[in-house]
Amino acid sequence: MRKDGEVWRRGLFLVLWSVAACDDGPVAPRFVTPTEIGTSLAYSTWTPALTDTCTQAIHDSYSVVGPDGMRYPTWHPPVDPASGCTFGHEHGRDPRGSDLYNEVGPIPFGYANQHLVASGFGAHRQEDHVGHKVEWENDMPMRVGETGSATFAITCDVLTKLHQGTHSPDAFTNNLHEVVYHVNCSDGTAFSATLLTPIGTPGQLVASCEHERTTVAGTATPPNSPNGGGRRAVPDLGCIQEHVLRTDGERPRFDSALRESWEVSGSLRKANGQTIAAFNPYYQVIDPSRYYDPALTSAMGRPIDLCYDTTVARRDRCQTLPAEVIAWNDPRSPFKGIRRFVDVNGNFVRNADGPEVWYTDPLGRNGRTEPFAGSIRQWVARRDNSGLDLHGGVMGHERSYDAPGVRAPN
Amino acid sequence: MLVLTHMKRIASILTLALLLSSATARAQARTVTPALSTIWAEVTVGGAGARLTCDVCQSARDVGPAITLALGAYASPQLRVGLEAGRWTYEENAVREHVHTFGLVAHLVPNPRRGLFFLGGLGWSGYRAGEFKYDAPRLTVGAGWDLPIYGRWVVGNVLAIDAASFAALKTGSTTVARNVGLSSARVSVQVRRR
Repeated sequence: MRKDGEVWRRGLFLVLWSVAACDDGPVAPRFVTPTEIGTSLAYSTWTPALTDTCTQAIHDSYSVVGPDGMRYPTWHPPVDPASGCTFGHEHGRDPRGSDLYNEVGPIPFGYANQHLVASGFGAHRQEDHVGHKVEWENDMPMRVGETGSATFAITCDVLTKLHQGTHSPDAFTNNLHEVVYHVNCSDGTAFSATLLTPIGTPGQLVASCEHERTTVAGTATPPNSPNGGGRRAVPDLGCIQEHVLRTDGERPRFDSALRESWEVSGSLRKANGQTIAAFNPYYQVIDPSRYYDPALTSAMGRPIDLCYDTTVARRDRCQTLPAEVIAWNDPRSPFKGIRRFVDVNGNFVRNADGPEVWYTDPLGRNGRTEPFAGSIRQWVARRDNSGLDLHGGVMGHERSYDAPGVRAPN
Repeated sequence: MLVLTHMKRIASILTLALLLSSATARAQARTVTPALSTIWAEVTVGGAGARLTCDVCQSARDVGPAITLALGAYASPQLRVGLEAGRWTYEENAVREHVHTFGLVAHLVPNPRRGLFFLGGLGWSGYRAGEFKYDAPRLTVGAGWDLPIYGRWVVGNVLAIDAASFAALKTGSTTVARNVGLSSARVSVQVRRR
């Protein structure tokens, strides 16, 4: 009897060993939490102003230690649930509802930016706190190639964050913006990328209402910012004149004039330039609180001011305004960057041979398997989804992130 | 809603088949079975529900029109063999899927005095949708019922299942899924000259 048991145990061991031998080895975690070693440049930069009722200390309590051991600000609700105070800005959808949250944890705002100078880029990027916007969706049906969903049934979880300030002249000339992009699909496509991605041409913007019309808006900032593909479609005076200040008596259409589209062409690349992962989501804002007008101070106009033009007053988005004149940063303004959505578009992985953990510079380039000065930790599944052309859906359409106290700058 | 549409299509096909069958059954009583020629030819028209099978393949079975053409010879009064070509198609959201088949087919007639026959086949199946393509060896099994209508002409119904597997789904030369299967279930009305 004991001998029979021994045979069974040996047999079971052989089976388990065979199964283990077929495995590619343990999967590296997407996110690691090292010991805290300090605070990041992005931490504790927000201070209350105007109608904001939360203190800086309450705001700073919403933080996370990033993969580099530095403490970063992270997502928080627009109203602090413990005290009921308001921050005056919002960061989009609560990431804790994402199926990816358990894998990636809270998103550190400013992680890529933190390491820009150390990586040898030669300049630092100033990103305000309020511009970090989170969006996610679980189990999104994806389209595959030209066949949509006729041949394949693939779903993806996507959790993303873009620094998308739509209240200041920053994006008129600055094409370098921090993007965090986590994706996990039913076909095995998965990656987590954090980078400062150049969106479009530095110093140049594309008119939001006519993407063929480009405008040189000023000197590139940072001056050595590269051209990153994609584009930043931002409203300009031409769009305002065409859709809002109409001479034909028709209803003004703010949404048609103002809709911004930041079309990212992001990628993680090896040192030899070979792509490890790539993605090209479009981040759209329907109600920015600024537009480009070179004749004005800082080359920036405020849509709210148009509501007091006689041809526009009490019409379209101006209908709900109070009788008195309100400022661009008043919570009652209909232009505060709270109506947003993201077109997910393509997701490409070329990492069949691994490893899962890569280190790139903050621009997502020069990918190596070991960390180096100024490097960012990235995670890419061992997968090559060549030929699938996996693209899809829209996240956040018809969603508004308005909340008590939220106002521009947001 | 989609399932309901598919069920309606299948119901229409079956109704058509039954109408033809009942009409020809009456004709059968008046028809004397003629001597067989050495060559037979057949066309079947009906519907089929087809789907690919793989980890990431769409699990819905799409029901669309199907047609086959066959030409062959009698090995004996109980057995006819031939070459068969077929096509199935389905369109959804401006994407059209096709399945092409080609191969050998054999009809085994247990009792030539009765209409029942069994069919078997082997050959090739090819799936096409947009840039995706799939080519695999295929087996077919099924059964049918012959009802003489006039001279050497017979009509009837065919139920068949096609199954292909052990092939890759590709776009260009790039494999996007391995070990993919393709199956279809066909319900058809046949016209054959025997």
